[in-house]
Order: sequence, then C-alpha cells, then structure tokens
Amino acid sequence: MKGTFIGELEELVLLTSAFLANEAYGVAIVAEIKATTGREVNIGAIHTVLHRLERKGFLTSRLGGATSERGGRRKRIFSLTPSGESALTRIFQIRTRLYKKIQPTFS
Amino acid sequence: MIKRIADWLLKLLCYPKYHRDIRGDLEEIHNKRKKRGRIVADLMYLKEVISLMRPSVVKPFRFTFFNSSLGIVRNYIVIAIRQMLRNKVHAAINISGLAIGLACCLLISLYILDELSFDKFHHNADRIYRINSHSSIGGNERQWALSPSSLAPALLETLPQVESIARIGTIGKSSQFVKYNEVVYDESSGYGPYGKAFFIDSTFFEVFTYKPLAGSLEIASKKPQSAIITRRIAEKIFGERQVIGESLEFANLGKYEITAVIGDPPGNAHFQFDYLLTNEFDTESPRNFFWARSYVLMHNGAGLDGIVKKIDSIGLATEPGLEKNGIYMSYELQPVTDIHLNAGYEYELYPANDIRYVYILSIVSVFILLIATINFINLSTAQLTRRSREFGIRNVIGAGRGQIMLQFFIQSLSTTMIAAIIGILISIFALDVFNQFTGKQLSLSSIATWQGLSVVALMLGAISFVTGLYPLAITNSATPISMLKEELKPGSTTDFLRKVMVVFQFGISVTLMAATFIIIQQLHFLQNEDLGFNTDQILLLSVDGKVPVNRLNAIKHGVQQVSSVQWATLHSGGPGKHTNVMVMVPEGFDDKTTHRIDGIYADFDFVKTYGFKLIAGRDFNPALPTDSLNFILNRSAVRKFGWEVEEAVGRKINYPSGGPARGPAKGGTVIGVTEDFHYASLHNEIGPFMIGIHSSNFRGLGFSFLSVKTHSSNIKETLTRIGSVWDDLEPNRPINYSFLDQSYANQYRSEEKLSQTISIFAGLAIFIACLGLLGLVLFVTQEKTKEIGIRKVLGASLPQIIVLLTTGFFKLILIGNIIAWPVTYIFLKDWLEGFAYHVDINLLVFVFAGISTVIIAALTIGYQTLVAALSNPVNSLRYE
Repeated sequence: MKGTFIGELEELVLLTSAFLANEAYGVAIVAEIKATTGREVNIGAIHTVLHRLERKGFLTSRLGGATSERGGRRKRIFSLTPSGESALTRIFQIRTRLYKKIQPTFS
Repeated sequence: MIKRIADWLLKLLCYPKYHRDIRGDLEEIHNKRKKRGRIVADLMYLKEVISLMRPSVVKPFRFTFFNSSLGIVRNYIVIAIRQMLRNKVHAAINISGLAIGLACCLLISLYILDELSFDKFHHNADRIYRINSHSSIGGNERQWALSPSSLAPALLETLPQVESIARIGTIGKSSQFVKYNEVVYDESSGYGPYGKAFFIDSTFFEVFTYKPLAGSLEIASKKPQSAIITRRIAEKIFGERQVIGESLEFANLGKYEITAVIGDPPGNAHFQFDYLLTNEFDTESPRNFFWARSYVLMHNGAGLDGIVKKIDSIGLATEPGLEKNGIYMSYELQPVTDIHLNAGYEYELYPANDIRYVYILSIVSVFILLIATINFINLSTAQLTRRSREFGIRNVIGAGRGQIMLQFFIQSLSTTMIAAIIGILISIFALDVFNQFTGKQLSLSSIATWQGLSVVALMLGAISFVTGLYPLAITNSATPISMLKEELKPGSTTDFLRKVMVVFQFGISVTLMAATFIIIQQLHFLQNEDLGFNTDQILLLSVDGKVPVNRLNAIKHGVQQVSSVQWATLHSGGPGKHTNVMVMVPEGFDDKTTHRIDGIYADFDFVKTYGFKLIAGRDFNPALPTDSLNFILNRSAVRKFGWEVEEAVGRKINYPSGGPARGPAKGGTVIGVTEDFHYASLHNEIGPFMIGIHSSNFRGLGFSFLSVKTHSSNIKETLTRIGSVWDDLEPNRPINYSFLDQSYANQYRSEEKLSQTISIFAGLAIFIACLGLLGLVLFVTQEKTKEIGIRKVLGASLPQIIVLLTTGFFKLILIGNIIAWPVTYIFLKDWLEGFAYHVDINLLVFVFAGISTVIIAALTIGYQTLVAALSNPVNSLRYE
C-alpha cells in the first residue's frame, strides 16, 4: 500500500515537523533540515512532501499567525497525527532491527 | 518586475489550494534575502518559483478549460460557415482575394528564399571569400570578379588566416568542343557567359563542397590532365555514370581522362559548370591565366580585420607590373554567399541578380496581400452592422467581451484557412509557370520546414487577428442595448478609416499600373532606339581565333558566294558583344599620356557590313595597302582627343611602346569618322570607339566573329546554305550562330522580366481592389435600398441616383490617384536614372493610369448600381 511506506525526504520532513512542534511550517522546516543535515532543500519540494504526508494522513495542518514579512499571509503549521507518530516509531524499529543485524553493538 | 513575473507564473500554475502557503513561504525567504540586494533576491525568487514547478504542485490540467470551450468553439465555426453561405458574394470576395494574395506571397517567398540561399550549400560557406578587384586605369574605375591568378597562392603563403584557396579559370569558347568516339559536342554555350568547361586548382574541393558519384575528388583534382564531369554530362555522352578512365578530347587542349563524376551543381550556385579540368593552374607557367576567379577559405574563427589592407600590399608585391603599366589595383574579400545578389562586378561566372528586383518583388507581393486584407476588413466591418442583433443577444445571455472576440477571431480564421488552402492549391498549379518564368527549379517543399511553416501560421494568425478584431474594436462603445436596437452604425472614424483604406488600395493599384506603363515604355525604347546602325538581318557566326587567318578568309569568301549574302566581315569583337580595349597615343599628346578607348579590330568590310554612317573621311579601302594601319574613329573619340570632326581626318595615332603591334608598325592615320553608335547596351553611355584593321602580327588578338549581312527575307534558306559552306570548310566544328538583333534584345532581359512581373502584379492588385470595391458597393446599395426607393418616389431620376451611389467611391479613387502619382514618379525616376539613355516620364501616363482605374472601377460597380437604381421602389418600400 502506498500509504504505509515513507520515502527518505518524507521521513526527514516528518521528523523535523515532530521536533519543531508548534513552529513546523515551510520555511522553518527548510531551515532546520539545513541546520541538522546541511542539505539545501527547495521550498517547493518541502511543500510537495508536506502535502503528500498530509494526504497520507501522517500530518495535519492548521493556520497559524500572520507576520508582516510573509506579506500578511498566515503560516500553515503542520503537526503529527497519531498515525504519523506510529509510522515514525515503526520506521525507527525497522531501522534499529536492521542495524543490529549487521552490527550488534548498535543499541 | 522580475518578482511580479514570478508571482504571476506562480498564480497561473500553482494548485490554488497550496498557493497561499507557498506564496507566504516564498515571501518570507525573499524578505530575508533582500538584505543581500534586491535584484539578487528577485532572481532567486524567480528561480525558486521555476524549480517549484513539479507535478504535485502544478495545477492539474484536466483540460477543463478546453472541454468547456470546445463546444462553443465548434458552434462558432458552424456559425462562421453559415455566415459565409448566407453572404456568398462577400465570402467569395474575401476568399478569392486572400487566396490570390497568399499564393503571390508564397511563390515570391519561394523565389526570395532561393535567391538568398545561393552558395550556402558549401560546408564552409561562411568562411569562403572571393577576391574581387577594383581597378583604376587612366581614371576609369572598374570592379572585377577577377584577381591576378598569382595573388591567391601568395595570400596562402603569407597570411596565416588563410586555410586553402581555389581558382577557376575560364576556357576559350573555341576550345569547348568535346570529342568522344568521333562525336563532337558543342559545350561552348554555358549557363553563364563562359561555356561549360573550366580549369580548377588542385585544392578546389578543399574549399567547395560537391558530392562525388564516382571516383575520389581528392585524387582526381590532384591528377594532371584529368576531367571531373557532372552527372548530366556522364548521362548525355555515355548514358551511364560509371565512366571513370574514359577520355575526352577538348579542341586545342588535348585529351583529358575522366577521373570523377559529381552531382550536378545545384541551381542556387554562382558557379555553373559541367566539366572541371585540372592541372592548368599547377603547371610551371600559370601565366596562361593572368586573371582568375580566386577564392580563399579562411580558418575557423579567423577575422577579416586588417586583412584587406594586407592583400593590397601583397598584390602589389606579387604583380608589380600592373602598376608600372598604369593599372592601379585594390582588392576586397566578398563572402561567397553575397556574390549572387551583388550585381555590378564585371566578368561574373553567372549573371548576378540585382537585389533591388528582389526588394521590389517582396514589397509588391506584400502590397497585394495588404489589398486583400483591407477588403476583408472593410467587408467584415460592413457585415458587423448587420449582425449587431446577434451580438446584442449573445451579450445579454452572458457572453463576455472575450467570448465575442473569440467568435470574431474564429470566424476570420475560418475564412483565412479556406483562403490559405485555395491559395496553396493556386500556387501548386502556378508553380510550373512561375518556374518557367524565373528559370528556377522551385518547389513548395522548401518552405515546409518548421521555420517556414511557423511563419505561414503566424501570418495567417495575424491576418485573422487583424480582420477579426479590427471591426470589433471600432464598436468598442457599443452597449448590448444599442446592439439589440441595431443602432450599431459605424461612426465617423470608422467611415473615415474605411475611406483611407480604399484610397490606399487604389493608390497601390495606380502606382503599379503607372509603373508598368513606364517600364514597358522604357523597354520599348531600349529595343527600338536607333543604335546608329541596322541590326536587322545581321548574322553573327562565332569563329575560332586560333585558326589561321587565311582559313577564316576562305570561309568568309565561301559565305560571300551565297547569293543572298550582301557582305561578310571578320572582326575581333563587336556591337552587342564584347569589345577590346585599345591603348594609343593620339597626335598632339606626348608618349606617356596613353589613352585607352574601346574598339575592335576587323577586316576591310566591317564598316560596310554594319552600315555605320561616316560623317567625315572615307571607309577602309582594300586597294590601299597602307589602310591596314589606319583607323576610323567615332564622334566621341574625336571629341575625347579634343579635335574637330573635319580636322580629325589625317591625324596620326601611335601605339605606345609595348602596344599590340609588333614589328615596324608604330601607328597609323585617321581616315574616317563615324557618327556615334551604340556598340554596348543602352545602360551605358556611348564612349569613344575606334575601328582598326586586324593584322596577323597582333599579339593574342584573334578574330572572334564572322558577321554576315543578308538581304533576303528567307532566313532559313540562307542559313542552310551558309551552313553547308561552313561544314565544307570547317568540318570539325559545328556552326554556331546568333542574330544581332536578338543578342541586343538579350541585354535587356532583366528589364523585360521586371516589366512582365510588374504588369502581372498590377493586374492582380487592380483585380483584388475592384473585388473589394464591388463588395462595398453591394453593401451600400443594400443599405440604401429604402433611400433609393423614397428618392425615386419623390421624383429622382436614374442619373441622379447613380451619381448618389458612386460619387463617394470615385472621389476616393481620385484621391488614391493623386497620392500615387508623385510616389510613382519619384521611384521610377530613380530607376530610369540607371540607364544612360531613357525615356522621359510622360505625365500623361499618370492620367492614363488614373482614367483606366476609374473605368475599371466603373465597370465593376456599374451593373450593381444600375440594378439598384432601376429597381421598382414598390419592392423596396413595401412594408409587410
């Protein structure tokens, strides 16, 4: 099923949104990804991923406050749904299990 | 600005649901970047927007737009076709005018494309240049397509920019008789003035690109005494293409082995040939060719800066002898692709075209299309008023302005497309005639490239746009109510613009018509001007100058025995053909001031045969042996030397040291003076001319022609008898003759073409303009049916009503005439100045052209007006 799998960038975005909690919107996510991984991600790509995740039901969004630097537009703040959280947990478990198979010292 | 474009793009393409968020994010990033500079930020913004365009963000095109409007578009097309069927006359006028205009444009574009494509087929066409010379001899400036044959190799040696060179040498016509298997082929009349065979360099094919069909060009061009022939010759002589190793014998030149066969040179090349002979340039003494057409291939990327000056100095160093003899040279490099459209160089291999004629053709064809388009506009404007109720209702039901515009556009487009299809059909049928007329092998496929097709599509789109939207634009202020009430009457501006357009149409028609008249007059003048001698019944036989004079004399005497032959004379060059340049020192000038004038060497019968008018002195007398050293001058020569006609006879003229005479003969006496006669075409003014007696000890000057004056009307019989005399005495050479009056007429071939072309176009322009006029008259008479009825009831007479209906149009035609006259006058005066002898523009021509247009217009609209004027008022006024 399409909904159950998550791509690499999707995972990154999902994690970042979880981390940023109430501040998870486009520009902030791009900045955070850049800060932690050093990757320059295009804003359009982030939006694509955010909307896809929302469609898959891992994220939900609400409109946040407007700032003048956004030309008066409100931010769309994303937050994890329970199924998003469980997806992250599942991925983490799968990864850990695999890592342990190749190198038991990973804990 | 950049940001605004980006925003617009975003809004256009982005899925609306995401647009707000994305826009906000982008805005935020943009604001942060602004610190680094506005433009940088804007550019980054644009970049972001463009890289944003991924399938998941971009608005899904579910073709909803097309789906919803497709039905209405189909409806528009149906309505357009119904409209055409209802107004058959209008549709026919529009379509036929446009179709003719488009066909003209299409054919002319083919012609122009071909003219512009000359010599572009060589792989290195952009790097090939021909070395042209400007010579100045005794203050006489001339431009030659030639340069000294030693110059090109010198350039190759000294200039690092030159990659390779090629030279073409012409071969005397007398040598262009090719013998194979005891059959002699006359190849002396070629595609240009020089016959079909040429000498080439061993590096010829490094510069020019030709396709070998058999043999290797690389090897063939380096092999001495080898011939490279074209496919058509291989097929003509051998009937096949595998002819390598066969040999051909050229008269006077010997045997040449065929080493390669190449494809026929394309029609759009300035060098047309059938045989290329190698070796001559690479022999020890290339002096046989002092002059040659020389080409250089420049290295990739090598500029021409400063090269031309260097060429002048290299030229001076290579041929110092020229300047010593008073011939001052300078050189220029002409791109090979420019050769064809640059008339004005002497000794071209192939007659160049005058670029002005190309311009004239394109302007005229555009005018024709314009006239047709104006018809279309005028008629649609007229129709619009009748259909105003339809648009009112559409508007009320909810059609926006955009939709009505679309409808108009589609309607015009339908008409234009039908016209385009008919136009293409016309041009397909007319192509054969057009090809015959232009002497080209044009085909419609050359326009079927994507560039060509997109230009055609653009043009059709533009015509539909203008003709569809202009009528709408002028009803800009119309409200649905006024449209429904049929109050949509063209305002005064519209009326004015329509009048301007009619004036314009007839202005163009009159211009073309008057131009036709004047060009035909000039042509008639050129062909019938008194040349100073009679060209009728003079037959020119070409003879071989290398044949001993006594044998030529035998032929001459043989020909003279034919009873219908009056005179026969041998001469080196002649009227209507090339002339020689004579160098001399007339009496009263010191030995250093040489004069160079045109002239020819002939035998004693020359003046008698041509019948030149002597105004002083006497003709050559064969009984006086000293006469072989004497001269006859023309009036201009006498004037040039500063003498009076009467005192010229008896004056001495000497050859300068190094002149053509060998031995003790240093010059002679003037024994006669002739009236001026046109020895060249009427493009040039008559210059000083001299006739001398040919002597066998002249260096390199042989007889070229045997002129025969007959006094019989039975030319055919005379020709057969001269032919049999020729065959008896010169069995190895087929007879080659021309008529003098024809060779004179041939000099004006390009003017003749021009006159034909312009007259065809003038006819078409008038035809289309009259079609438009007819359409307008139909419209006006229909509009005024009621008015006419009322006027008749009130007692108006038939002439009064005709005057009412037609005065307006005739006024416009008159204004068109008055505007066209000075324009035509100015243009044609300029054209006529190109001739040393020309007709004066007779102002009656304009009056005549004006009256003709009025008459044609009257005939066009006469019937319709008469019908309207004669109609029974009861029919038009009955209200039921």
